[in-house]
Amino acid sequence: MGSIDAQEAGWWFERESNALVLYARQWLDHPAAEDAVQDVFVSLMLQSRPPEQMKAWLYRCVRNRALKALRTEQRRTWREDRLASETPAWFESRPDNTLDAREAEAAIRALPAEEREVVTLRLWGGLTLEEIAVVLGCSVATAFRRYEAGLGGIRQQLQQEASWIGKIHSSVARMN
Amino acid sequence: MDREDSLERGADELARQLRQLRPVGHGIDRDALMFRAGQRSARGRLHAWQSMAGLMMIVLVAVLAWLNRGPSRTSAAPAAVASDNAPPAQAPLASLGHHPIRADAWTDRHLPWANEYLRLRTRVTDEGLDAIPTAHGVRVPTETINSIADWLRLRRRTAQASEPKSLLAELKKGNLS
Repeated sequence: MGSIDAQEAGWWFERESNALVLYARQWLDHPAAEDAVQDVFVSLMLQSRPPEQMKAWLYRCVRNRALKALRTEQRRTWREDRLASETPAWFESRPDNTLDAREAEAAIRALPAEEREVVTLRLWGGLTLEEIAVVLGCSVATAFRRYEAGLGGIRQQLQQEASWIGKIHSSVARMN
Repeated sequence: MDREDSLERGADELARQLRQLRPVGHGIDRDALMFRAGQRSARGRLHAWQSMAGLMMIVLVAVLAWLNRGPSRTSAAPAAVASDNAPPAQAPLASLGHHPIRADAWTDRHLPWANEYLRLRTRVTDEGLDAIPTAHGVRVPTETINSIADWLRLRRRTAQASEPKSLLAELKKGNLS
């Protein structure tokens, strides 16, 4: 094997695999996303030298592999339809969540792909803006702008959802 | 860095709430992943080993072919030389069955080697197998044959000579004409 020992790779796997799968699901369904992440960890263990920025390297590799898988299958439209309807949720539904997991997921899905990617990397990947810039091959300023725009978009989506639910509640109350 | 700080300081409530959401778990088996990585790594090593063995085999075959070819080339050359003046029919060299080469086709680069060969041949004819050089070599007269014409004359006479001793005596005297 390469110079990365199994213990170190295992540590990164435990720490990042969930977020990496979530990141890959921007483009792929759940099983394909898992395959992409698995391939990246196999590649990591075959590296002769450990990457300088391990976290950024992992996310960048997952991104490249996911995009490649998407191109290879050439079923993007069909896959996106399937992503929206059949695949399991992105987040666990837990009672202590202050946001509804399904609503949050819907709001994130509604974002433009570039903003969604940055928000995912920042919030669940825990990457700094510099690391995000490395992963996406853009400037830090661009990453910052996309993140701000993404958060704004999610907020707007959730408010729309809340107002819609509020309207339903008030109309139900009026009927009663 | 400033942007990073401002993001951390001003992390709004929405970002905090979103961070609380935990991505769903995955079905990747860590042990299976490690096994797969090891398997792929071993496959790479096997290819390297096979490539190395194949390369060494090719080199070995090439060296053996070269070694087999080398001596036959060097020994065939003097036997193949024939002069326009001498009939090669009874000559021992001509009986080897090689195609004769015209003497004028030889160039000066063959001359030192031909001289050495002829001297050795003469000594062996005269003194027997003891004259074959050892690892330390033997001393042979070097001043006798200086041109290809001398060599051709000597060769013709060697082939026809019934008494090699007399030929050597002439050779030593420098009387080759």
